[in-house]
Amino acid sequence: MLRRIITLIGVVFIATISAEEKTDKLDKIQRTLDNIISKAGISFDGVFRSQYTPSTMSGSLAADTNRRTESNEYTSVDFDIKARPNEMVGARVQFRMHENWQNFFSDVANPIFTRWLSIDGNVKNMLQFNVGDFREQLTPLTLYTPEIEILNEPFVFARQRKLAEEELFIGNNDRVVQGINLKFEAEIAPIFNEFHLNIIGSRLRNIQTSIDNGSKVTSLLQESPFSKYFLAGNLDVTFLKGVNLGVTDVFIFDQKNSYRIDTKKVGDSITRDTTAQRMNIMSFRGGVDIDNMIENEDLTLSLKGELASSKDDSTSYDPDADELNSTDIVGNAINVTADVGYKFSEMFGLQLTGSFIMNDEKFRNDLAQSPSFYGDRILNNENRLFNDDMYNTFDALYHSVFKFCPLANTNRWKKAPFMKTSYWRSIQTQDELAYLTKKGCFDDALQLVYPFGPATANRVGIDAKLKVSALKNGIVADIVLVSLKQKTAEVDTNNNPFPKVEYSQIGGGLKVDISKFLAPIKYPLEISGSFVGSGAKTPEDGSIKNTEIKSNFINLGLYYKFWKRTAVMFGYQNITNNYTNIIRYGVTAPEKVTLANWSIGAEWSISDGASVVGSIGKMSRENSNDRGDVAQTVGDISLSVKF
Amino acid sequence: MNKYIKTGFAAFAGILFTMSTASFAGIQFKPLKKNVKEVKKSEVDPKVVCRFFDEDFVSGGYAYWYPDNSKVFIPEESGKNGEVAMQFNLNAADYSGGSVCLYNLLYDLRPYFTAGALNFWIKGKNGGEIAWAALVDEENADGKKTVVRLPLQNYGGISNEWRQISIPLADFGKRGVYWDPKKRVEVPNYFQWESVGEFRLEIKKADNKEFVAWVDDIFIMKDMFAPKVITEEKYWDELEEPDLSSPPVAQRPNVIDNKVIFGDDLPAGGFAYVYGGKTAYKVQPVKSAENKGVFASYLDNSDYCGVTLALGNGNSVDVEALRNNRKAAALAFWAKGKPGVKQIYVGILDDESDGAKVQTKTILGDWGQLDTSWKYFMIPLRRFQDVGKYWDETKKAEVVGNIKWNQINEIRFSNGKNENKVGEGEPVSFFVDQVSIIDSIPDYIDPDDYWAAFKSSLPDLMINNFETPADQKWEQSIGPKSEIKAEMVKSDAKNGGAFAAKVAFKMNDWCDFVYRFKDNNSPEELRDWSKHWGIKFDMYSPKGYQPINVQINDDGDEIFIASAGGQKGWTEVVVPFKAFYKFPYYQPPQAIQNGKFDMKSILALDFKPSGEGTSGWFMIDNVRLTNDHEAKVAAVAEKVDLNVNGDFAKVLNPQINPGIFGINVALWDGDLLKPATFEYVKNVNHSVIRYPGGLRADDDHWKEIIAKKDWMVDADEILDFADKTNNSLMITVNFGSGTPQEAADWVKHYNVELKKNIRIWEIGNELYGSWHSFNCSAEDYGKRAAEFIKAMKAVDPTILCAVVWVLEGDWNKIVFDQVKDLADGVIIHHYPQHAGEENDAGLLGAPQSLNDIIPNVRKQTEEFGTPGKHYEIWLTEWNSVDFKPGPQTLGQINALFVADYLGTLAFHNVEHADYWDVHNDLTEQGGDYGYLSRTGAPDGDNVPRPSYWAFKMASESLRGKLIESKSGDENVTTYLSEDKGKKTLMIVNKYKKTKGNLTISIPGFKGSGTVAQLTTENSKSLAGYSSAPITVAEGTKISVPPYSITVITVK
Repeated sequence: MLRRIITLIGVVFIATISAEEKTDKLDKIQRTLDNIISKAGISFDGVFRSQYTPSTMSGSLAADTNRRTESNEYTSVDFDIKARPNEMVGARVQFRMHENWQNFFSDVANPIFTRWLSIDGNVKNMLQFNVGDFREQLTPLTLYTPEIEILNEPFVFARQRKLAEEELFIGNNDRVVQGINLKFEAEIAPIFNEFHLNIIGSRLRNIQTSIDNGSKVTSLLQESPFSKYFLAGNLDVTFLKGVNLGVTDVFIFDQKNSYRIDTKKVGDSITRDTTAQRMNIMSFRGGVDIDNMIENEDLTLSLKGELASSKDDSTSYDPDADELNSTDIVGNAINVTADVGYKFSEMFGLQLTGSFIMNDEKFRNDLAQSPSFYGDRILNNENRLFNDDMYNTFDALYHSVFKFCPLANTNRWKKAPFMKTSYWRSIQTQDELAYLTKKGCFDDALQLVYPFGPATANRVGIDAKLKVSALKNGIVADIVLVSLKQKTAEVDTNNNPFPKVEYSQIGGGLKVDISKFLAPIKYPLEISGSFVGSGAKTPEDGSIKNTEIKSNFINLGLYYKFWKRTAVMFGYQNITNNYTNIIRYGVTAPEKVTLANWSIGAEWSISDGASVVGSIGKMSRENSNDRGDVAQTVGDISLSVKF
Repeated sequence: MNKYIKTGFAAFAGILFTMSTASFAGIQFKPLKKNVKEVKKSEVDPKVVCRFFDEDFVSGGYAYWYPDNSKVFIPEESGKNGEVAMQFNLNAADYSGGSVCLYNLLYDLRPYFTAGALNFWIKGKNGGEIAWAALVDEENADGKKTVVRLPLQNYGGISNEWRQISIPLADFGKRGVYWDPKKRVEVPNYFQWESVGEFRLEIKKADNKEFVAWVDDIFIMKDMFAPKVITEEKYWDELEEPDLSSPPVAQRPNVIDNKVIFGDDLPAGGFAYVYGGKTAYKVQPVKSAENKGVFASYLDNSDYCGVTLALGNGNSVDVEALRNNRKAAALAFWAKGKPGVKQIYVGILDDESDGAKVQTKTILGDWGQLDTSWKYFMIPLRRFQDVGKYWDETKKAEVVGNIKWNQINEIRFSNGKNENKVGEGEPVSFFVDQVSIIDSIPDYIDPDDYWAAFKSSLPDLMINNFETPADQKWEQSIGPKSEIKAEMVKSDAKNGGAFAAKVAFKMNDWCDFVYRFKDNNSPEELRDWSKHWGIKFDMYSPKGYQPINVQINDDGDEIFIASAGGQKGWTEVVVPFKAFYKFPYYQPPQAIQNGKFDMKSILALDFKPSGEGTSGWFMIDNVRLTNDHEAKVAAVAEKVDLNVNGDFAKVLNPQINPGIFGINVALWDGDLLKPATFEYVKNVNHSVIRYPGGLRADDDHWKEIIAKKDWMVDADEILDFADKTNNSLMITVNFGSGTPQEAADWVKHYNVELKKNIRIWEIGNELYGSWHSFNCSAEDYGKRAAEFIKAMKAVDPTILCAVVWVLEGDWNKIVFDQVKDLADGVIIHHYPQHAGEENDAGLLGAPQSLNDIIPNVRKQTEEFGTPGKHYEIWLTEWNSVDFKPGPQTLGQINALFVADYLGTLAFHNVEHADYWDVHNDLTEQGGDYGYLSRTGAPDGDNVPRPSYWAFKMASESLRGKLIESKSGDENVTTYLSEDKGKKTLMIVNKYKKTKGNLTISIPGFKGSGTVAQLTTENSKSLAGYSSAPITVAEGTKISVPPYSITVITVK
């Protein structure tokens, strides 16, 4: 392929040169081609993938009138081309050619999907810049993507989740945005051990983003009235080896001039002014890393705190005065975290992380609060798309379809192929987040306590994690404990407060890798399990009935690499959700929902760049209150070849 | 918004400003350490510029292999660095290889050629695998996939541990070869360093017993070596010959071309190819209206090499009928050479359809004078033997085979190492033109036909009876190491006459007793020998048999020779003219060499003593031309009655040196380490094995051979062989291409590191010989040998070192002038017959020549050596004929010679003697030095020859004390010995047709025991000699068959 591209470039060049200059230019082109051919500055990587995922639905909720079997098969290739003509600047493009087996005969044109485009630089290993697509995070209260955490998630499932997330470059709590990122990172001796300065500017949303015809990657909602941007400046310094100070300013704004006024619509110009958002978040941080100061690698002892303050404008139109009134909605968030730990030897260590969180109800930061996960039905979704009783956490977590070909009678999308995924990298507005919260759109097993991550508004309490490791990390035990409460009670329409909701999470996990401490076992033999119980409870208060959601999440996993490149894996997950007086979308939730998921599979890495993974499993949901049950048997064979 | 943008950029501007001014305040900006670490993680060796394989192929890369039953793959956990390596399972029984290919990607390695390297890690399954690393260019530009390759042995070789190979790219050179599938040969071609597309690992057929190797991290690295100055080498096939003239084609004899092999150019479908060193060919244009091109061969004088003209696949010609029916059909061509080019072989090769490309060849000089002017050569096809040789890759040797005259495809011009005298680095430039098979040579009569049809009833014609003064004008001439004295003495020859010529000689190179007919104005009728069948003369020998050669200078002064000889007393000898062949070693400068024995006007007759190292006398009388086909000989007696006498009180040798039973083994003997060889060798009880054998000892480096671990027998393996066969080793160190240090290292390896106490060491082999690639003057040899001995004895002072000597000559004195204080002994070789001059009776008399040779050598050591110092005599090579062994070596004659020779050695009791050898190879002449056959020989694998049984019998007999015994008949030799109560009598009956009825009359030789006999009947059987019980007393009678060895053992 590379040679074809090069040849094409060469032909284009050659075609444009005049006869007089032919010799010189040919020489020049030849030199260029020689450079490219000899791989000077060019790297050309990627992966071919082919997957077959049949899913057959059964159970009382599976409608006979709809098709029960969904089969996704495709072959695709992701090209990842990096050009780095010199050490200071480079560029990267990642694009995909994808062929769905289902519509092979109808898809004559095979479009190229551009997945990543950026120009990146690094001057003297200190001054870095990105223009185009980039990933960045600053702090949990400023620029950050809340992601799903599952304690001791079985490998067979974790692998699938990673693939689904990587489709959108999600991971590591980074924000994936497109714009300009300037970064200066250096040691400024003898003053600062570390000096970080970031200037970031990016568009967050565009107007009237269309999800028709296959695109569903930019926004949950179909339309945005403005182009939304953000600018951020960040400064972090470390001195005396362990004393950290930082300040961040994030500015999110709608570009009013991007609003398209519909002259037929009365009051549209007012809408522009009242709807346009201006949000500013200022964060101050301080911390001390004792372990760094005394240079003890076995010790972890640090304390850090962050105070973030958000100011969101609220503009309303006073028809009487025919004027706009603006006020600022101000909210603060405090996050203080202490890390204490010590590695006594390779054989034993422990780590305790405790956080105190106090986030105002009015703390707002779209860039830190927009989650990356909105649970959605993925497989067999043509079968009663909207039936909430058929939603399965595991289906949402572990499956994604890059290009799904719906049947003609699909009532939500047109017949054109589209992407199915529960993962998002878009930025939601506060209204949208409030709407989703109100509708209970977040997954009870995964997002009950922190639907918007550490920056979730209106929370006060503690979050603690204890990790104990022994036998060279062969045995790792985790305990999680979260106890939060709403900081400010919600009020009804008459401003009467509801009882404050109490959030809790308690659980623990154990992971044993026998190969770490039993010499004859050469490769990982990992057995893991966890139990995490989450809860959200509103106490009864007079006429107000108590409401409660309790969710217990059990994970059991086995991963055994019995040969260097071949492993078997098994996973079992169970979620039990108990609902007391919960109404969603106007419908009372069943008292108990049981979700189960098992899968068994094998992984064979043919060589370093090629692997085959096969698995088969079944996920099911049972609803109490005669709300029926549904199960999906899912197979998966995928072959990937990296180059 | 503007505020933010302004603030941001102001901050960055501030940073940049601060950075630019901070240094004044002592502030430094450094990259964060964590960033540095991150860079390091992904860092690769910055010298890596191109990659073929590390954890995987480069994108799209793949492997292929040949033949199909080879395989290249990437197994788990195989990597040197990282998880995996490539595994090459190549087919050791074939030419095999595996390539790592780039896909749609080519590397331009020109920038790295002078200082860059091909680097990779390699590990073999067993270690010592022989392989070649190669780079392959792309084939689209020129349609040729050109390969440059180098042997891994030169860069560290393969062991069973991971080893990094680093080959300078410059070593690969600018040119490689590509495989021409049509021609089925590799053709030289410029390598496209600008578009390299493959790395390849190759092996050759039968170089390895099996081949499994892993290769990892195949990179091209830059700046690995000091830049090599690349001089633009002129390849010989690029030579231009503007002054090359055309042969005078108009003057070609009136011949009819049957098949043109080269006219003005190579024929359609034909091609040429080369082998050996830098050898090349080119069709050179010449300025001639009637001739466009001349075929120029540029042979590499430093190697065995050749240029071959091939007709091409499917174009073979059938010359069988032509050769049989038209007996003057010939291979004909114009030829000339540049100055110094004299020795060129002309070969005819059949096609390879049966897997063997057999070549039969002749020396061009036998068919005309090769010089710098164009001559038209016509070589009769019939003069090319039916038996030729082909290269057997499995045996790594040239093997005898019959040429298929109905499938002739190639003509080859070749030369041997250093056979021509050209300047250092210059090619042996040899030109041919109008190469064809012609129907007949004008006026040529095939000698076989001629003599078959020869009819003449003319009576004998006396040409010299030594009676007149004119007849007595014989001349004597000698080589530097020989003596001759001829005189006219009274004759009592049966055919009358008063005088005969008595020729006394001491022969170490050559001596002549010549009569020059022309110079003596002999009448023409006495010089026209064309009307007679042969030459007849009376000969007297005081010995049992005296071999001589009869040499004739024909009309053109071209020398022809035939061997003859006489039994004891006066005998009549007839030497048919058809037995004469062109003397291979010398021709007078003025000789008109046409390869034809022209007898119309003979110039000279010469009686030459034969038997190197011997002395004696003989008489010649009544030389005449005859038409008798056979000489008149006395009737052979059916039996001879003899008494074998002996006296245990007369001890000839109180302790026979076990060292006389030594034998040579060769490092190139791929059959030596076979179990059967072990058994046979062990059973002979040789005591000493000489290694690594012959001329190769001065060419090969012992460490390299060990490192190769290939089919060749290395210095460690021979130790094991020696241990297992209960022998000690004699080592010939490499004097030719080796160094004193290398020799000293060998001593250290054996005696210090392995504590093997190998005591006997030779300093080189036959360095005096013109046939030796590294031959040198005696003075140079002596000086350098002294350095060798000093270095070797510095490692182990207890070792014994011997220096190369000849049987007699100045060489010995000059060498000893340099080294007599250091040397412990002298090395001689003895092959009593010259190739082509074999004579059964002569050979049977040869053991007794030791009676002259050994005392003479001993006398020289006393004369030239340090007074009072005893020098050992090591006869480290002996057998019957010096080159090209014929059928005689495989017969009972050689067995009798071996037993008799060992018996004579037991008397002279040199410290060491080593028979040549365990295994050799069958020659075109139909002989084989080896006392065991080699794999694939017609008589089977590892089959003992008669000589083996004879050796074993002698080795079992001649131990302890040698006691005087005799039969009273020179043709029946006896050797009596006593060893620890065991008494043994070995009897060699050299009579061809006469059995010996012997009466054992040895007091004390009695008791029960066994009698073993090796006869013409059983000597070629697998069981060898017979064995039967016997009870011996004084007076016991025993019959010994003709041509037999008998051993009687009693206790």
